[in-house]
Amino acid sequence: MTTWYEDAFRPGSEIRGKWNGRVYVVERLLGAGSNGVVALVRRGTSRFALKAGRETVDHQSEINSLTALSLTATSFKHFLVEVDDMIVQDREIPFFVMRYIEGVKVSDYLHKHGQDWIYVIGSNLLRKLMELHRCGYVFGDLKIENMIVSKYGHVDLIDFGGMTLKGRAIKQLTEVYDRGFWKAGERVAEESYDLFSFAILILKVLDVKNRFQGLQHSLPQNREIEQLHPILKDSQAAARIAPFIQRALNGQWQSSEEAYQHWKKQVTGHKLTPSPLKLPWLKICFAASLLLFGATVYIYW
Amino acid sequence: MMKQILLITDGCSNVGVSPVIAAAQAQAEGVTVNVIGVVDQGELGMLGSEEIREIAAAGGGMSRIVNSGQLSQTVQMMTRKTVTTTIQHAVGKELQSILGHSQLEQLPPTQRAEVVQVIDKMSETSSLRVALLIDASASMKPKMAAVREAIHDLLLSLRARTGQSELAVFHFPSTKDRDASLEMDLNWTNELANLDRMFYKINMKGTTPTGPALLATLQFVAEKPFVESAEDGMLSDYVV
Repeated sequence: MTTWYEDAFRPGSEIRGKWNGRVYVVERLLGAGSNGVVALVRRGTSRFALKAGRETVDHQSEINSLTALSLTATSFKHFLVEVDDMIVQDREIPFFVMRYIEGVKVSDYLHKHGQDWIYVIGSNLLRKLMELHRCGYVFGDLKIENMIVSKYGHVDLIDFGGMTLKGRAIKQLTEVYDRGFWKAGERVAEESYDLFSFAILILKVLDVKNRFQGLQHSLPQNREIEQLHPILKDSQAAARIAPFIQRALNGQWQSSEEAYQHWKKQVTGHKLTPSPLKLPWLKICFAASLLLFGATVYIYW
Repeated sequence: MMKQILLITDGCSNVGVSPVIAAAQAQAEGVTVNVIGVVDQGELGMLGSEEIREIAAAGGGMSRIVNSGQLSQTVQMMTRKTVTTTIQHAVGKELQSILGHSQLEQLPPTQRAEVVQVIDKMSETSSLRVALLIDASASMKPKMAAVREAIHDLLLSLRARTGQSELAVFHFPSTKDRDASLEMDLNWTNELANLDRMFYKINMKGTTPTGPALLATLQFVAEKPFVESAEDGMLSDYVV
């Protein structure tokens, strides 16, 4: 069975906008879900990400959020490049074009560069959330798959389908990241909702013993947020941020601003523990050089 | 007020009026009927899947056949989609009278953006009632844990809506009254605490009176008082 997008998104094929007439050339498919397709495309020398959706209302709803964001004086400014329709097999398929961000999944990044990067990445992610929250929105569907990490722990959010006006019902969610799933709060768009998902995301990437696997399929009556606490003890990187994570899971951060301030303190306030080997070596070398100096002086005297 | 009935079953009806007729009646009264078939080991035959599809088609809703693991998500998705579709339909009628067509895709992007903004807002703020109708025949027994979870999950999402949103739960056949096709487990509510006592004492039985149960649920959803013993009277209203 061929899917509707296979032909239209074959590398090299052209996508022509019905309203604005711009032409994009497909480089490759980046991902396909139940209601949308994202492809890497090129126009002239610039590369973009193009998302096409068959569910017109849901798709347009995401565009509306992005349009609102693109007009703000935040890092999301100009994120949305263009909105148009393409015609596939005599059917109009709406699409939008956005900035293309090159990077990797946070879990891959930490695997490659070390778990200590979680502090910087956490800071950057919290700053993104703060920006959204200041504009009156909640991200909603925060999860590993919806963020991209690039050089030096730079963070970008990539899927805005869950973005919801504060106070409304969360539009789109993923069970494990949802506080309702853990019986830890309502599905209302509040800053604390994103902060809960943030905590789960951090726990998931630091979950070295793969504890989530078992918990995900437990019965709801046995499912409790306390079951996640052991993860905080499994890894050294997690131990330092444990108090922060626990407060986030309990919904005790009123705002992302407050949470961010605390995260920074927690991360930079601690003295960076130098690896225990280095100091003795330094001392030994220093002592040795003193001795050598003494000896030299003695010999030449 | 938007009204939906969501039927969760795992097989064919075998007693009473056809569920397809019952669903068509619901649709005629402005109530959408969605159907989920729960199948864990492929026990739903051709007949069962065809019936499920037809009930939903007659009820103006959608149908899916899933396993217990997918139940929560499916219930969630169907309810939300039905709300959007109902509103889209209403908005579509307006568009039809203004523009001569009702297709969103025909609108230029800027206008489409405005229309969807209205749809989004209405979907969030309109009041909504969802009646869940659970097949409690013997074969459903191993799936009841998943059903409970799905109900809990749905109520969580309904509670978050700005518009007034309530849930009621029924199962069929009745376990209390041999002759009744329907028994209420939960009256209209949006309190999670009320879910805890549900289904603990269900004694699963063999017959599957899907049609009569659907009609009785419709009576309730259409805001006629629910009287469990008045089964015969309610049925005879609809049996042609």
